[in-house]
Amino acid sequence: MNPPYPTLLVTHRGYGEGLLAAAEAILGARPAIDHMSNEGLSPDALLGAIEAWLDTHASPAIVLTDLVFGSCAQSSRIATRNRPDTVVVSGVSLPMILALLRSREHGDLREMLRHLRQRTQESVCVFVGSEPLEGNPS
Amino acid sequence: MSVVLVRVDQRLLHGQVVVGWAPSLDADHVMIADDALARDAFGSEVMTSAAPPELDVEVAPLSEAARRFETLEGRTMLLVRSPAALLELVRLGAQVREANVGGLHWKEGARRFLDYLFVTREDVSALTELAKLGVRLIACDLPGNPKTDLVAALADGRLAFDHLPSRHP
Repeated sequence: MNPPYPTLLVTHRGYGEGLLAAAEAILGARPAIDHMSNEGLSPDALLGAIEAWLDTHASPAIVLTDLVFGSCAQSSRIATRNRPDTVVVSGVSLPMILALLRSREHGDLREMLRHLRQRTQESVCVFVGSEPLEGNPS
Repeated sequence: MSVVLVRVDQRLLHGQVVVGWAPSLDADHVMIADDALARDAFGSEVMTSAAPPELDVEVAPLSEAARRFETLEGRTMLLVRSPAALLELVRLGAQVREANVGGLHWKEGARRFLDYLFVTREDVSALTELAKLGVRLIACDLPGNPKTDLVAALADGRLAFDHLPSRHP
């Protein structure tokens, strides 16, 4: 399955690979999302790898990362310095990837991104025993 | 309060620091001492804006960090990018008695000492100078993980650059 824009997943260790494998198990096909890990890479090396990927993919492109304060997100954001059309989304999860793959019908880029963020936030529900914790998305 | 950790980490503020070290030291302030980042408004914004609200993060040139080292308030973690930066900080007057060396990843010309510590000849030279100045140098990537005394490793030759394996990770 293809996301609506070229998409790169930049994560710690094997988290991204695990997410793509899980998505494939659900969808029956591996999402057309590229992945790179920060394992063993200096900040400059990771930045270079992200920039090289962006240089070879059409704009706008989306970079999904995990921790908002992590090195993956930082290198991804630095890579956007001269690329105003590149999008960086932190907090990547399986629900986010599935929502992205189903977001073609949501108009322009910014509208799609707002929808993606909302869908991902709505995926967080907490239950204490059999009871939903107050504040769960309705 | 004071500086509760001085750390050499190529990635500066990142997951291990925010999730690992800050809670274990009850730190509430991070000073990133880095001349290049202090001149880079966008890079500084990227580094500081994503920090969790319980951590006050600032970026300062090495000279300012050295000047304020003894008077920093709160429980501060001070981060530098390299052994050379730490050496400059000390030479500028910061009274650093102990430093954690926590993350130097592979780069061209670097050799492996630990899985998270790939050093260049320049890194070893700076660490050697720091040891001569009396700074305790402890390699440790995360709280609770094994510590390695780098001053001892320099003294007994384990950290001699020419004896380190040069393989890429």
